[in-house]
Amino acid sequence: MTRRKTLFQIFRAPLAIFLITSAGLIAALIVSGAADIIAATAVAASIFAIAFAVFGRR
Amino acid sequence: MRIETIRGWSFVHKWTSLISTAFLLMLCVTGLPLIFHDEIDAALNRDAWTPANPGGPHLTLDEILDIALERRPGEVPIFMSFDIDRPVVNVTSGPSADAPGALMHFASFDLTSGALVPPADKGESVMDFLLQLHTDMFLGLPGMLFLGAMGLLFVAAIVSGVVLYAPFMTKLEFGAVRRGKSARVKWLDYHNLLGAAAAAWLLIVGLTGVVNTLEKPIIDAWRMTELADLVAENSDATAVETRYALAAAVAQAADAAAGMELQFVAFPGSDFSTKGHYAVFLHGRTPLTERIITPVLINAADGRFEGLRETPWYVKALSLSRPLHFGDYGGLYLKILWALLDVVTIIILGSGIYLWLAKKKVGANRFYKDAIVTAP
Repeated sequence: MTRRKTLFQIFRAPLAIFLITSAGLIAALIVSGAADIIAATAVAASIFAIAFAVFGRR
Repeated sequence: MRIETIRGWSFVHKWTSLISTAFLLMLCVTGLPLIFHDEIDAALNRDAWTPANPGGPHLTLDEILDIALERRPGEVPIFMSFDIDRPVVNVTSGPSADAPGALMHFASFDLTSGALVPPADKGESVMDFLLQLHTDMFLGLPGMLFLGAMGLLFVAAIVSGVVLYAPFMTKLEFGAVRRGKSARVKWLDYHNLLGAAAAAWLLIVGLTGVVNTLEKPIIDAWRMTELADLVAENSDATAVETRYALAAAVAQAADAAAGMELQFVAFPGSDFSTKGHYAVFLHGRTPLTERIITPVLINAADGRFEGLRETPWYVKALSLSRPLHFGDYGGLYLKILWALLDVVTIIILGSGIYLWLAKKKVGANRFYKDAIVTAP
């Protein structure tokens, strides 16, 4: 049986996505032009994570 | 986590979700086309309008105002706003300056000729219907505040959902979906994955949505506190007889707020002004400050400058909540992400209802046993 994970291990990946997405959401407000693409890509971390989990590891 | 603790959070998650889900689904479905409001408008209204005298001299704002009021005998001006990318001025008028929205009349004028600009309003009635449903369900302020309360329940559901994520994931890798197990275990995994990945966006859009429902109380509080002295001073002022030149008032305001861009003018007696002032609203030029408006008050009878008022923090919070909720501040790419995350939210809500039904059917013990103990 797999070992129980600690709270940090459980929340490590969601927390990283949370921080990257939040940074992108706020950065898009501050920057404009081409930098908006970078900010939006940070927001897309949430979508990439879902896509990878659903389609990437079958 | 102790089983009693799980049950407690599960109780919070269940009820906050169950009460708000129907409304959240409505908000997601109506919100989806609203994300692309500008693009839909542009696609449906392709006939490009051009000014009569491109590059020619502009009429003064007073001339435009006279032309607008000539077309609407007996009406008074309420707002004047300015298009960003074309020389067009929009005049809102009505039977009185404090007339309700339904009685207001909106018309656009060519600054180079004074000619009426045909409204680009194909498809506008559908979008207005969706926006109204999304904002207050046609119930005015009570409807808005009710949706705000649903937004708070949504936030509580997100927080309790994050807490509940832990016990289900003690033996699973992030993103694991147990496809070989029963449908309810599989959908629980999807529900957890989508919720965990989209949590930041869900919280931001949920919280800023709640702030947006407080628009009316926020604006009222601003008028009653920061602008109270000016409002009181003019509370029994009768309608201004001869109006001080609008163009001069606007020029004075622009001087006072150097480096800022003109956004709109609220005429005396309207919702955003006092009975005796032109309230000239300007906004900054950087991406962050262009959404924060600052009013400059000009006495409408004699053109006296009455001051530039700093926008209080709660009005700034409201100003920033709008883009963060609408997703219209980072180009089309960000809008597409908004739409994808909106669909993700619909799946989270739908799978949540399914999981509630499945748990009721098999019983909580069996549900937890299958989901937690039989991890690979």
